[in-house]
Parts: sequence; structure tokens; C-alpha cells
Amino acid sequence: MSPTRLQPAQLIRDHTHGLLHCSGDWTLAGIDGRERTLSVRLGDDTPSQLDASGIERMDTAGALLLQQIRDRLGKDAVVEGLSDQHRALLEFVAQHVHETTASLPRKRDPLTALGVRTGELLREMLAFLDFIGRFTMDAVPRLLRPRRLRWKQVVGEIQHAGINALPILGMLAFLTGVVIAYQGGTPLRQYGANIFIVDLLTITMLREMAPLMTAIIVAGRTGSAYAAQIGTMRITEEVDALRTIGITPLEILALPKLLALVVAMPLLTVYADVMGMLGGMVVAQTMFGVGMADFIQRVPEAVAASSFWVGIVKAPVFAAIIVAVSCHHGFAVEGSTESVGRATTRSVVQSIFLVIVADAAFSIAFNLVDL
Amino acid sequence: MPSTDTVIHVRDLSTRFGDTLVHENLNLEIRRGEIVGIVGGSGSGKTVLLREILQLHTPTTGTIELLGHDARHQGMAVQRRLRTRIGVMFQHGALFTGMTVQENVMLPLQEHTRLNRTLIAELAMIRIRMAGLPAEAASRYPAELSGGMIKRAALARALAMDPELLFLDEPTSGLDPVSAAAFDDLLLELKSLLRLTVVMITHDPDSLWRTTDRVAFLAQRRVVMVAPIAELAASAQADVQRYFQGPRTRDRRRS
Repeated sequence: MSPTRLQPAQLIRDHTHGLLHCSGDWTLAGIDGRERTLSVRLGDDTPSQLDASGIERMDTAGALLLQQIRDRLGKDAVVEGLSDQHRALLEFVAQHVHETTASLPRKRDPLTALGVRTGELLREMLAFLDFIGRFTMDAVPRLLRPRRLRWKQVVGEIQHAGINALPILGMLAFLTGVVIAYQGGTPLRQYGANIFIVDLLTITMLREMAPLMTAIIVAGRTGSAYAAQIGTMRITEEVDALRTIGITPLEILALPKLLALVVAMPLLTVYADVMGMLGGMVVAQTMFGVGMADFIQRVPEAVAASSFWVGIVKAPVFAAIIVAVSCHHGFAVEGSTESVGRATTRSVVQSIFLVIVADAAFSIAFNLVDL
Repeated sequence: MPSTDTVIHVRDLSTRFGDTLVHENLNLEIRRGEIVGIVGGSGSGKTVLLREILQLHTPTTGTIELLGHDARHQGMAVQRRLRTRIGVMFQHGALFTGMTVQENVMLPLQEHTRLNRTLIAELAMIRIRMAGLPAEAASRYPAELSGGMIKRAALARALAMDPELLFLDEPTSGLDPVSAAAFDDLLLELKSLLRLTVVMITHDPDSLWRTTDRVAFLAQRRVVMVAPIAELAASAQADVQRYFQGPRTRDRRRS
């Protein structure tokens, strides 16, 4: 689409006159894909004179190629017939050619890669512990003076992390209840033990499913947002700006989030309990002939109140894990936007991982104290 | 070559953001081989105009012809080819943070040409050195560069494809006076060597006086004047006069 048609760059040997003729457009578009034909192989009969009078247009890419050919031909090589402007361009490029091209990154061998990765992993675990330590040191004195906490922000975070999560969490918990009741009810019916569907549903929902589902949703929805927000603020130097103004980033960015989730997650868990039971109840009535009234009557007989509390108690711990992990990864962002993405992914994956580890630990601990 | 002397032709351009009218019947013509400065007070729509010319933003009404094409009505292939003939340097560099400087400069070449990697790497190095960066900077990431170096790296990337048309958004802001002067020199050299057309937004009076052939003055939602800077400085137009009578923008040639 250039004003005049593109004429590919050409390099023609003229043995009779000991000349190399250059012609056409020695531009990026003109040399594109033609490198092979534009290179010279050295031999005894290689001409050492370049006749460049046929060159129509030239840009720095073409000039570089010409310069390379001239270099290859040796010191005595002469370029003739260049227009003044093209000659100036050639000299300009020659002046900026660097002897050694910066080396492209090398690949590591597998063993080194393994070592480096292990080292990184260990360092990261230490960094996480370090973060938790600093966060605690910073938070505890502030928590002792609750009047000075940023309650407005806490309320805002509760809105985002808690109330806005109600539709999705409710939907998921309801469906989980439906699935558990449906899958568990079928074998129970074979024994005529339909009513035990209540026991099954209540125990799984209250003790395990509701707290876990809540934690997973919050980690995916809110934890990732925390990591991305703090990470982006690191890149735009907002975190540093806070520090220079005299505000501890942890205090304004992490502490309100912690408080908000510690409040919101137990409430979300209760909500998930209710929705899950509701889902189970619908299935129990429609498929297994356990009426709503029977169902509700059976609940206190089926499970001790402790089952409910066991589920609720876990929630604040999960909240702390999610906030600590996602804020840690957010603050660890450095330099590139890519690392924001990485931090977000890691915060979700590690939050969920640690939540499940903590859940297993809770199971063992509760088992030991017979709850 | 008929009609190819105009590389950018903006006709009756209007831009509206909600209730604010940024441009109203704005006209601008830029010819091949000239360096045009775009000046105007803050908020006069300079950057928006630049973004519209680059087709990063669609104007409310009006047409913009770029290198002879109204690119909005062209297919993807034409648009893509147009992009290879244009280099852009953003105000804050907009370097890709996940790549080294050299990889940043190599990216357009790798995307648009079939040249082999060594030649591309070498071309990138030349751009980097042309832009005034030391060779060591090539392997660094943008986060490891100073503000001035980011500007140069951004220029190197803008020059990657040997563009005919170069857009610069405040190229010398944040540079020390020596680097800014070197930048002006480079611009003049490139213009004479490559017949580059340059459109730049700038607030740097030294740069305006030294490099530009013409200056377009934006005020009252349109281009009120396009003329060599000396004429602009002597203009009787109220907005232009106010701009050029300030203590920082007076005629630099006498001082």
C-alpha cells in the first residue's frame, strides 16, 4: 500500500566486472523473507565492490544488512553509487552497530532448575512466615485500640466480600444440599431408612460442606481481588506513596480486610448452612417422602448443637488464612504486570490448599476432644 | 506521487465524552517529512486527538485519513499493514513489563516480519543504541530502568519497524536538559535520514523551537492555528498569545 509498489531488495553477482549489484528497496518490507538471497558466501572470487546505485529506498533495516555485507567482504570493500542520503544512513547505522548482541536468555538444565525452584519455594515459605509475623506485630497493638481502626473501610469490605457474595454462595450451597440429599437418599431408601437423610444432610452440611464451600467461594472471589488490588498498587507505587505519607500499608490495606472477613465468613457459613438444608429439604420431600415438618423436627434429634458450632468456629480461621495468603502475595508483587497475575493465581490456589489443610487439622482436633 | 504528500488528514472531527465536547469540527493536515508539534493547554484534547488518529479511540463524527486510508472502513489486513508503518511512543513508555528492553523492541519485528531471530535481535540492538541507551540496558526489565531510560526504550520500540510516521506523546517530559537536547538531535537526524514524519505532543518549549517545522495549536475544541512556531509566537490570537507570552514559552532564539 506504499505510494509506489514495493520492489524486493536484490543482490546480484557480476563476475565479469567483479561487482555485487544491489537494487530494489532495501527496507524492512523489501528485505523481509529474503535474507538468504541477500547474504554473500565468501570465496576466492567474491567481488569486493558493491554497486549500490540500484537501491531505490533504504531504511535502517536495509542499511544494517548492507553494512553486514560490507563487513563480511572485508575491510577493503567499497560501496559505490549510494545517494548522499543513503550513505549518511549507512554510516549512521554503522556507528550504532554493537559488536556483541546482547545474549538471549539461556535455558537452565533440569537439575539446576529443580534446585532453583526448591530454593524459591523455601524462601517463599519463609517470606510468608515473615509476613504473618509483621502483620501480627502491626495488627495486635491496633486491635487493642479499636476506636482508631478504620471501621468505615471494614464495613465496605463486608459489603463486598459478604453481602455481594450471597447470591452465588446461596445458589451453590442449595445445589450442594440437593446433590447430597439425592445421592445419599437413594441407598437409604433401600433400607427404608428415609428419615436418616436428615442426619446425613445435617452433619455433612453443617460440619464440612458449608464452611468449606464458603471458604472456597471467598478465596476465589475476594482473595483473588485482594491480591490483584494490592499487587497493582505495588506496581503503580501507591503502596510506597502510603508509606511516605506515614500510613502503614498493612494497616490500611490488610487489617480492614482481615476484620471484614472474620465477621463476614461465619455469617456466610450460617447462610450456606440454611441454603444447603433448604436444598436437601426440597429433595427429601419431593423424592423421598420426608415432609418439611418431619425434617425440621428431626434435625435437633439427629445432630448435637456442637455440629453447628464446629462449622462456625472454622470460619474465622479460614478467613484469616485467606486474608494472610492473598495479602502476602499482593505485597510480594514486583515489577511486571505478569507478576500481578501470578500473585492472583497463587493466592487462590494456596488459600484453598491451606484451608483444606486447616480443615483436616480441625477434624483431627475435634475428634480428639470428642466433638 | 500525487496526494501522498498529506500523510494525516483530519476532517470535521468532533469528540464528545458524555456532556463534554472535546473537539468540534477540528481540521488538521500533516504533510510528509515534517515534524509537527501539537500544543495546547491541559485538557485541550491533545492526547485524545492523538488516540483518534491512531484509531485507539473512535471519534463521535468526522473522518481521519492516515497514510491515504480512512482506516476505520478498511479490513483487518489493511489496518494491520498500516500499523506496521506507524511508530508510537506513549507518554509513560507503556513498555511490556514482562519482557526485557530488547524483547520489547523485537516484538513488533517478530510479529510483522519473517526475518531470522539474529537479524531481528541485531536490529533491535541498533534501535536501542540509536535511542541513546547503553547496550547493557537491553537485557534489563522495565522495572529496573530509570524514567529517562524508559523513555528511550519506548522510543526504540516505536522505531522498531522503521516507521514512516512517528507519534510521540510528551517525549522529553521527565528528561534532564542534556538528554532532552540529545533527543531533539536524534529526532532531527532521523528526520533527515529517513524522511520521517513526526507528530508530537509536547510542552517542552526548547523542543518546539528546535525541532518542529510547524506547530498545531489546540484551543476552544479545535485547531486554531497551524504554523511555524515563530509565526505562532507572533500571533495575535488570544489563546495562542497567552500560551506563548508566558515566561517559559517566549522566543528561545533570542535568549
